[in-house]
Amino acid sequence: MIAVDDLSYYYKKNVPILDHISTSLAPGHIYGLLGLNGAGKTTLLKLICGLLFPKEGTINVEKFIPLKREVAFLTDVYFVTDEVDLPSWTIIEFVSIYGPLYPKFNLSYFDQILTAFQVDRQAKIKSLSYGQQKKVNIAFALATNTNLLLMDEPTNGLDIPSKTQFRKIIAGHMSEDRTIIISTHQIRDIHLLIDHLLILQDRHLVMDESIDELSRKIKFQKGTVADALYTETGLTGNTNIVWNTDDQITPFDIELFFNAVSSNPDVLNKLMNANLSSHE
Amino acid sequence: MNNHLHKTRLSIALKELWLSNKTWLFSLPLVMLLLFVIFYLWPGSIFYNKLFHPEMSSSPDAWIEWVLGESVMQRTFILFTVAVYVIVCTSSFLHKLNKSERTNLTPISQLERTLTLTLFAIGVICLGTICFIAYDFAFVSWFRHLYLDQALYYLERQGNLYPDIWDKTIFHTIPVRRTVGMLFQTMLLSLPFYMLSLVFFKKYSFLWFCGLMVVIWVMLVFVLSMMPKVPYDSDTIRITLEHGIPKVTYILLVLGYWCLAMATFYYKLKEKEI
Repeated sequence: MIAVDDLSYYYKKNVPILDHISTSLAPGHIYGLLGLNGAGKTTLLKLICGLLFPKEGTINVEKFIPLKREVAFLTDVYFVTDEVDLPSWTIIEFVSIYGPLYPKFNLSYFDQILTAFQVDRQAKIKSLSYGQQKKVNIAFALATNTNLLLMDEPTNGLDIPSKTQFRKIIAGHMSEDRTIIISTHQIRDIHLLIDHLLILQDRHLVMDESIDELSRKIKFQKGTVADALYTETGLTGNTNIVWNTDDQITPFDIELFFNAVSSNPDVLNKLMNANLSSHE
Repeated sequence: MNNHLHKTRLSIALKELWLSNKTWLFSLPLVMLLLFVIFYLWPGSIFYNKLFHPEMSSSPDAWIEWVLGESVMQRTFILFTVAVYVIVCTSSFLHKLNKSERTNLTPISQLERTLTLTLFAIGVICLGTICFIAYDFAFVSWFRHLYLDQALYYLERQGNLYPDIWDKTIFHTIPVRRTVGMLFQTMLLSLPFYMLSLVFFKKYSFLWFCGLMVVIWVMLVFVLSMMPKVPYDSDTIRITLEHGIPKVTYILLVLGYWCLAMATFYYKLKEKEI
């Protein structure tokens, strides 16, 4: 369980990045962390893994306080950053050096993922392309079998077949005791994986809800709808977000939903009001 | 799990440094050898002229005379290669500690990082110093084997039956305790300050380190020049406490500075936001 309580962070004192955020993230879920550029997604990930220290509030990951960067905590967390920062060794050297630091590291699983990504394990890391280096990092991250896996734009630089492989591997990797938080702009690459949405907007966590709950409240409909919450016109016509009054479950279009939330504050207000009235 | 020191993690942290720098470390003895060769064959030097311009010496005796009068102490500067190697081998890792998310999330404690970095840097300093002493000894032995008899014969012919060859010539090694030891100590003393500067300043950290070193040296020279000097007096005997309190004080001061700087480095690492 990750407990974020009244968390605030700023780089410059009068320019807050995150302002009094609270949430609790339970294991067994893949969280999609969305937000516009500069919304504070990477900052939040860094705060969760202890690279940044909260200016106000607290973060607890199980029994650990991330900012202490205790070794026992670090052995159970891996952060796949957007920029690949691997040493200039061979993949074998990389794995043989860093693998033993993670008690649950699985070498055969690492090889299996590398094979799926079509990366030669004999290769030198620096001779690989950006996308291939990213694959090595993702393979290593998954093979560490840490309970907390943070990913910042993991599909950036991956080719199309690798994105498919990535989805399959992540889906297979998930278990009851693991928490995966994926921050991305390329939501189409992973939208089927995500089962909980976290949306950062204007320094606040404006959405913290599971896809299941959201699907019960809203649905997606093509064509012209009179009382739509939001409508987006594309090449194939209109796509609408409407209230789900008939309990019909439609595939949840995260991208459309995010566009609605970020471009139209009314959508968010109406959803919040719906939440409040359902609680009452 | 022990959060501070663990044998496996220590060895992994050392291996990490070794793997990142093994090419540099292998090149250190070779570069040092090359520098010795370059030093002895530098244009205008005794061996350059002997090998490439033998006509410049009017007779073999003239060359020997030159050898006996020429100081080759400048080769001490080769020892600065060691400092360059320490910087080359550790700076990229220290920058990673400043900036890299992966490095800072690797399950190695900050104490293990501090300890391995220090051990590694001391290892490089020792390796370089040993190489220097070994090459210096080898070259001097070689020169003695080739030219010492010739030199002694020349001196005997000059009527000097009990020759005392100047200790700055090619027939004497650099004094290990006085010169090499002093430079070794200087490097060891600068090490924690260098490590601290590189994690303390996010930008231009190396320039900051160099600037601060210059300031410290200038201040040191200034303070030493201000110390009262004992006027030369031919009919008095100076009794100094060189082997008593000052040495103990010196060791305590050095140890205090070292521990303080390393502790600051350790806590700076712990408190660093990436």
